Amino acid sequence: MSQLSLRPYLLREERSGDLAVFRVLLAVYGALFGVVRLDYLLGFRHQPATSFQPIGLARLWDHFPSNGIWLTLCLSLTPLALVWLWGRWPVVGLLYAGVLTLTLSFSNAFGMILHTENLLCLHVIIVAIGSQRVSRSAASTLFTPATTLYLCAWATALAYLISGTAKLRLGGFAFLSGDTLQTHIAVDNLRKILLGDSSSPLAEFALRQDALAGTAAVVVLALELAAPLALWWRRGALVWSALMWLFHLGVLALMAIAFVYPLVGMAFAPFLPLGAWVRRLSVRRRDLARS
Amino acid sequence: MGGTRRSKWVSCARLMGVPAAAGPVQRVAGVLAFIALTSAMLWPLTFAAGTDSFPLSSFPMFATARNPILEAVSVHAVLPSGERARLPPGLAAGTPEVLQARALIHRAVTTNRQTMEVLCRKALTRSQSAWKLPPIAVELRYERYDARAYYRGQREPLKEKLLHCCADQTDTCSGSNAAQPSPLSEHSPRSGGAARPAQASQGSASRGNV
Repeated sequence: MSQLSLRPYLLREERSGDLAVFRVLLAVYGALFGVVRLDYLLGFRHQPATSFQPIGLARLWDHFPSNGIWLTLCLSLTPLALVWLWGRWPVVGLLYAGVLTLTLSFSNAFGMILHTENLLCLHVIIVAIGSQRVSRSAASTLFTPATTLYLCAWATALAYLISGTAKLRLGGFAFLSGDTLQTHIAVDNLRKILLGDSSSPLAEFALRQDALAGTAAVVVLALELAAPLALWWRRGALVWSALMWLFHLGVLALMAIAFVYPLVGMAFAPFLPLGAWVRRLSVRRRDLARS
Repeated sequence: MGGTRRSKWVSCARLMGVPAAAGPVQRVAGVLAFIALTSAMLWPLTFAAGTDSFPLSSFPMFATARNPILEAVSVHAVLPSGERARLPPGLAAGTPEVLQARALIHRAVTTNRQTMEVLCRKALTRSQSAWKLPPIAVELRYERYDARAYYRGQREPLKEKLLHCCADQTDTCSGSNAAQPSPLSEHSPRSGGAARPAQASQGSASRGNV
């Protein structure tokens, strides 16, 4: 029976299996990210120094790193993620979290902050810190697996909650009319056209659907504000994750903006019984092999 | 009494993500981590409007009510036939991310003529080595549109202006680089989809998105 309760379902059971799967997925995502985004990251070497506006960890430096240091940072992302995936030395997780955050802070320091990598960074930091050993026993980590996944889920929920409150704080209830959303779709797509990038072929159709835009605005805001409920209600978490995933699919379809981390499901993975799914999958594979 | 206090502490810790089975170190670490994470993630809400950071953010994308008037500086390649083609972000500004390309172009255009020339030259070099039919010149063009009207069929810009031109042969761009103020404001956008509105210098609409 699924119900709302003050005991978060995320803490009700043993979650070391879920965490093990999540860490593997996170490390694999990080390793692929390092390969896919390498060219993009290396390109910042050629940007003019005058465009550098440090943010986050990059504020500790008043200039962009030298070519050698930047190359080392970018090229170490994938190897560090792979060593972390191996899982032999938890301290590598901390090193990976630091290098990833520093590299992305620098790459976001050229006048435009992309909001597609925030949760990746936060999840890596939480999992890396939580899996540090506090005694010689391998099982004795700084956070319990349930706490680590709870914190990751909380980071996801809080990010969406902050995004929802930003809409009310900055745009007010006018956001609910759908007009703001439609103008965003129009401006964003046209800007892509003007700057020679690919834009959404569905934008023109979507901009004619006024009633649909109003409904979408209400649903998006409600989903973002309801994000913390996903921590307390198991079935609600599945429904919420699926709807947020659809929202990101909508953003991709209408604005050609890919929030890859949520689109591949990683943002919502801490809510899910990953360990049980993997076990079920392996049992099914074993049964298939026998038959 | 002590038992009640302990059960309250356990319930409180559970709300912060610490299961009952956690050891004493894990319990304290879990509670501290929850408080630190929550405080850190809420911290950007105290930033001034238009300020953002990474990885902690106020996630302002799609939040502000936007003016449909869009101002952009686009980078065009001039082909030997005289035709013009928009350069994609990778060739125009050296980054495949369109929003970062926009910020870099905006920054170059609002700094000085030298930064404009550097951006233009780099775009020319990149496009000449990437395209089979190398362009003979690159132009930076200011354009202003009503984005909502654009999608209702009004495809012509409200305003268009050549800001800068660069070419291998000096006569290709002759006369087009006369000193003139950039129509864009000097404010650079700092965050996500919620770009800071910039002041337009001329025309009927006084403010627009850059």
